[in-house]
Amino acid sequence: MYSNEILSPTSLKEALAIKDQYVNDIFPLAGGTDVLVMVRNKLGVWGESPVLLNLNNIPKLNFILETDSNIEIGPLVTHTQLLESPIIQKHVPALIKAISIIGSPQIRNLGTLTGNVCRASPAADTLATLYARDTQVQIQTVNNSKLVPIKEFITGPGQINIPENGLVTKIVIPKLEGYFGDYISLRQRYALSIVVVSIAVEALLSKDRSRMDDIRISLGAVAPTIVRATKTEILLKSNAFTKNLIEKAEKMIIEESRPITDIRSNKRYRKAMTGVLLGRILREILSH
Amino acid sequence: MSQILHVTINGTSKEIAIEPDEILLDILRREGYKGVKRGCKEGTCGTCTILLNDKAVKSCILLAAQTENCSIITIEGIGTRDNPHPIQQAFVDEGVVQCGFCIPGMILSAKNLLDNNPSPTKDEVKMALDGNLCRCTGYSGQIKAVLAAAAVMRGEK
Repeated sequence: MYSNEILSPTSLKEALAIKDQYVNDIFPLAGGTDVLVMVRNKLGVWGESPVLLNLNNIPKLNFILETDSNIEIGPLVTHTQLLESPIIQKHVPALIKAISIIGSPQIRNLGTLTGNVCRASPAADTLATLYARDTQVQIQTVNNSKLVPIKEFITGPGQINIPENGLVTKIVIPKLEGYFGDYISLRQRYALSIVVVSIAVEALLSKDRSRMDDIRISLGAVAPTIVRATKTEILLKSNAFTKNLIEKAEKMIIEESRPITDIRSNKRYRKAMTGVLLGRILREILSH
Repeated sequence: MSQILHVTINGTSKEIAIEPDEILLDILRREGYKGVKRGCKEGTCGTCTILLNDKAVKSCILLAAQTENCSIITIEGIGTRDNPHPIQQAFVDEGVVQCGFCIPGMILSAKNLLDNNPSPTKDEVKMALDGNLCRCTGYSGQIKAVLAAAAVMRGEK
């Protein structure tokens, strides 16, 4: 039994009214690539054959928009749409790198960015870049709409901070002009696999390339949520950008990360790899 | 509480009575499209792959109700025994089929690739097929077949 009932509103207003009425007894459904696997395997709340709120008949929720300072992505936008979008290719290249290895082509054709965010996996490929960008999540209820920083929206593995009558209606990614963005993930293989450890970097070099004016580093699969390596960021911002500094940063990020051992990898390897991956990206920036 | 699903399957408009908890895979098989295979039923093996609005998706992790007004193409819709699709012909010519269970899904994933990218590299073919598991062959033949079919579809052979 996958669902007792499925409601398919045709407008956002109608969807919000349904969510307001059913609150915690209804679950939003976009691509369904993860939801339906969990329902089938009776995992967590999904074991109760919940009522599903099918958002696929609301075409207005499918948009990729560029504003003066942000990129805005609607909840029905699939990974494949993002890969093919010139706006994303131009402004968030690190996200393209992350999305291109999610699941398989069939998963990317159905699965959505918003679904990946709301699933709140510490190993989610898209999240590292979204954290490095200080992305915001728009939460809407029948009479309210607000933007929440992604690090406050995601509170733990599979845990999100959303009112019981709320729906995510937009992901807002700030543009970063002049930054170099990159994403690397290690996994056991490159098809249908989950991250062992991942890193996203957004870096802005000074005009004479001697210093980092800004750097954001986020790590995936080393903590209950994606985390920013703030100590390493400060180290890199407050010294001249040299080979020597890269070596110091590698050591510091290993100290700073607090991974666990699980079925996909172990603590020692994950810790060591945070340094290796950061070094790879920083040397790439230095050599350019 | 059953409902009526409006879809186009292999070019034919259909109205099908469905239950809200039915996945598309089960509906398609019930309607006689037996080329859509039931494998892992959790979005991994890819043998239930179909084209939904011309994109390859796995019909085992898709509720039928999500496909209202969509166009669906199954393996039955792209070629026949007498008039096979170039990808099907290439699979025969290269002799890459053993048990055959994975082949409908694999051919539709390949069609999704070649419709968007007529001249893929070997790596692009590998990535396009990476959601389709084959436990008999080891994949090298299928990759060759897709590259051969690409050449035929470009009119080079």
